[in-house]
Amino acid sequence: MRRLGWLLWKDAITELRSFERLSTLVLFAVAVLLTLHFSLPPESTARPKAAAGFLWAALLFAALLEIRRSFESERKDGTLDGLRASPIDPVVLYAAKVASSLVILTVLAAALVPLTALFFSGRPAGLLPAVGVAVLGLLGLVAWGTLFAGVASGTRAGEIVLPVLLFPLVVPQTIACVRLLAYYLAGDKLSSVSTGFVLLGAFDVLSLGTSLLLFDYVLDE
Amino acid sequence: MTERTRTLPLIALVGVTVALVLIFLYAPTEALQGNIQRIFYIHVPSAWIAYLAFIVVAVSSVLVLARRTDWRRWDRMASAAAELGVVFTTIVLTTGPIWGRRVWGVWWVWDARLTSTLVLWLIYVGYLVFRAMTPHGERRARLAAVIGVIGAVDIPVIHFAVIWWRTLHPLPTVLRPGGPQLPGSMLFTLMVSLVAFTILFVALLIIRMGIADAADRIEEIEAVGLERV
Repeated sequence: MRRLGWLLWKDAITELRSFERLSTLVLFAVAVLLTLHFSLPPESTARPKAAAGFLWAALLFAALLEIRRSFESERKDGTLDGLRASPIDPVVLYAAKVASSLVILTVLAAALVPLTALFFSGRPAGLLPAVGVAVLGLLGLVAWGTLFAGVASGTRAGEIVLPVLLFPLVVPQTIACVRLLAYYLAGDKLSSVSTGFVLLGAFDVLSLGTSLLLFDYVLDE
Repeated sequence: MTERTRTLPLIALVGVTVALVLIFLYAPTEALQGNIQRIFYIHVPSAWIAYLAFIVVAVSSVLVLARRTDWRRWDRMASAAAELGVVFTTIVLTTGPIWGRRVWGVWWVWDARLTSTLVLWLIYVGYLVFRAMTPHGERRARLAAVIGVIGAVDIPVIHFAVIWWRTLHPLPTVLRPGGPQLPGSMLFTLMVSLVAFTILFVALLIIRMGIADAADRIEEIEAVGLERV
């Protein structure tokens, strides 16, 4: 546990030294939202309904960048080899990566949800629940994303292989998140909000569970 | 090929020929859809074989992760099964729209089963892409096995999620492929076709694994050869 804390502290210090990572991610996400905004005609009534999808797309791409960076920066400086050689349990290493990525992405989601509401929807029903939904969705995504970043890191064109592997697998996450976000952001009718949360929760459990079991196999060199 | 390894492919050939004869000459023409319905006898068995292939991928991936001394054989099986799975899923995804265009009037709809099948296809193509882009060896086998296991575990979740998504916006009812009940001759044709496809799958799997084994051995010889030089 103490080692987990130490690893998180290491990442936090690196980030605090320059807000670079977080601010770049926010800018990236805004650029994505802007681009997607142009996919609809100017006075389209579909805009509020599309907001949830656009938000998730922006978060998805930003998460991809963040997860990839979480592995690559360490690999580049040889920190990864150092960590592998240390007595730290691979599970703890994995948990630290997931946690630090998730913290960054939670801040990103908190910034992006109000922005999305501002850009796209008329009457946001619940901004805070929307952030909660986004974070729940990102948790499952980051869990498998971190695992697959490890898988893809020894591969040619790893930055393409990661999304190619990850995106189809997180389709349940995408479906549940976007439906719930549409409910909270645009007041979209949703017959079973609870089913959506159950699906999200179940997926997070599956994703985290399998990753904790399998990360051992990924980290072996 | 030796005499022994020729048997199963020959049986597969006979089986497929018999199935084709039944499909085109024995099975009755469907009342509402006409002859295009015969694609059903290719489409449905292909789907079942695709699922079988991915189960083989899952099981052999677990065996690779179990760190057995014969992991190479299970890795070859996983890889061969994934390739065949992608081939048969591609058959499903092409025969489906051909049929659908005639029967529904559209090439593609995002109904639950089509959507899930497309996601399935993407997952296993991703598996093959990963294998193609990673250097051969134990690490590749292990990581591919991780992908194989997770892919298999996720399939039911994806299926459920897509169905839930679909129920939020129900489509107008679509013609059921075989009609409300399959008459005996159609069911018989379907079963024969399924058996033929299964034998074909097993024959192809064994052949493909043999090719991979030969390729590995050539690589070994080349490596040793270089050292000697």
